[in-house]
Amino acid sequence: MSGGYELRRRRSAEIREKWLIFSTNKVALFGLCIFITSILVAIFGPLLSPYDPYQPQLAVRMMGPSAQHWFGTDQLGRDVATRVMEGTRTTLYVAVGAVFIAFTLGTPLGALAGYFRGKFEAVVMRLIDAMMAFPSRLMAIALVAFMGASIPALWAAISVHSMTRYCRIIRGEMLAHREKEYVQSARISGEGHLTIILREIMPNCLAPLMIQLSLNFAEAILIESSLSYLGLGLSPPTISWGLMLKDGQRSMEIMPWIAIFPGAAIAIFVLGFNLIGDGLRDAFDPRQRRR
Amino acid sequence: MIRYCIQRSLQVVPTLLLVSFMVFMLTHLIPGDPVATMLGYTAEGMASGAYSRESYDEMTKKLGFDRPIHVQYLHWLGNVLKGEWGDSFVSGMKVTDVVKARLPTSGALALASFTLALLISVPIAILSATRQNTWMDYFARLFSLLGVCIPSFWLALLLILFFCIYLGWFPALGYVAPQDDFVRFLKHLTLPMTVLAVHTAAKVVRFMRSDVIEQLHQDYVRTARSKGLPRRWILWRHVLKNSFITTTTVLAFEIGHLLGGSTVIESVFAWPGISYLLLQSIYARDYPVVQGAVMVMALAVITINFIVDVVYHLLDPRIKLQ
Repeated sequence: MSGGYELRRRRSAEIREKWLIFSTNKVALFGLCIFITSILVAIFGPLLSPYDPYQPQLAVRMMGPSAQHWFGTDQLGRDVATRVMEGTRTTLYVAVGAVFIAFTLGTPLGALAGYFRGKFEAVVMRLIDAMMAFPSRLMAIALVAFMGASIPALWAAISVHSMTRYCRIIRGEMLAHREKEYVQSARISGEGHLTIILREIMPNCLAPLMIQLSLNFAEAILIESSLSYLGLGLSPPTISWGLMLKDGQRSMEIMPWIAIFPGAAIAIFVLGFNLIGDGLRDAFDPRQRRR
Repeated sequence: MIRYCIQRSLQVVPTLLLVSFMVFMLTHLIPGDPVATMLGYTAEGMASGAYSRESYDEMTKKLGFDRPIHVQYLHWLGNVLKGEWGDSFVSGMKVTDVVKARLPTSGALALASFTLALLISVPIAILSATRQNTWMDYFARLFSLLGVCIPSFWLALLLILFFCIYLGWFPALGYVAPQDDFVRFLKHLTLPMTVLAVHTAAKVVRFMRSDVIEQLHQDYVRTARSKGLPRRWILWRHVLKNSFITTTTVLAFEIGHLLGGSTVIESVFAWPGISYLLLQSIYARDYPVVQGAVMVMALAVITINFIVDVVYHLLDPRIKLQ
């Protein structure tokens, strides 16, 4: 019992140490601020805006940025700023769903493959290699092309490639940890395989998983917006930044603000997740810090 | 070396089979009845909005859907290996001919983008790694961060807005064959090539900078310095050779991405490559061409990975197969 308590105490101390390193990294904190702001904008933004993002107002169509319409209006007179804020909700909804599916499918698969090894591992890794042979966007486009554009199809399209990364990362960690002394002593003391994987090894694999999660969010946002831009993702009246850019492209000459602000929103969102991922990497890998 | 190549080739076979199975299964993902869906896009289906029982049975037999799935796959694979990839629903042409016609334009764009990316990224990465915490280093880190965060299609739209609409220096869309007018071909190539190159260069700078810094802290570099070797000699003869091994992985991944993932850029600039063909076929529900294009792009990536592994072995013969 005291051994388990000691382990938990050491793990808490490690987490506190990593958080301290992360919190002194100003760039990573900036990424965290972007992330928190995005969540707040998604929740409260459309509620605070006086404009309806779906309702056309032809009297104010095609107006540039002003005090009343910070990001201007589009060809139907809809406030672009409100639509960008509404698009944050859609983006988060798709990204969270896709990352959740990728994580829940890829992590157990990689853990079991790395722990049990043998034929199961060989089959899983060949499958993963085959899936990774497709560039991520190509696979996403192919899946959406055949399944049809819908949110579940987007989730499948984005998560299929992402899960291969979780699988590979966890498998690598399992291979590194399964022969260590603490795992052998857990086996000797009679712990079952599932208990060893979940209670002993997985807590030591959290670092690369957390880094991958943040980078996966960034990738999910880029893939969703790319697919929507191509007309293979979400469709009107759903608001998506990619769709706004697609509409904006047609009238870019007279309304350049429609092509600028949704794209800037995507870039800022992705930047935030990348900065968090870099900060986590610096916190967990001491070799990275001198770079 | 030959033994390594043979062993590596054998490793590719199961991957190729799995990839082909995934491409084959794409048709079975179509919601509803895929036979009815495919009939809807034939001449009869489009003309009358309906189809006869005979047409349905004929299409079912043609697609092999009356057989067990493993038999369907083996039959499809046999046809693929014989070069019979079916006919386009839209044009009626052989899928192989349709895809072959688009390969050179995609290849030209991928090669040009890759070359530009190398020319940009390698000097920036080396200068940044050897001059840490100077303005060059800050610029490189900012470039590599923004390059991966900015969506490529947004960058493409901004470049079109600035260089095509405002300045009028380059055409926004389209393609001119190099044999018809080489100067106009270059003008059409410039913007899509730049967008792809920036994205690739940003990733390469990130990895290469990190790797060169790691190499510079290795013991062999300290030993070389203590022997009195010039800094440039150490950098070019030792450090870069070792860091290129890791950089090669990133480059290989990026070539694959350029060949298989430039769909958005080809779409923005209406560049008639294989990725644009894929998109046009998706819009037209031309499923045989979609399968053919996906298969070719996946094969290109697998081939690139194979070549990279051989190059790895050349750079460092200690590297063995798993």
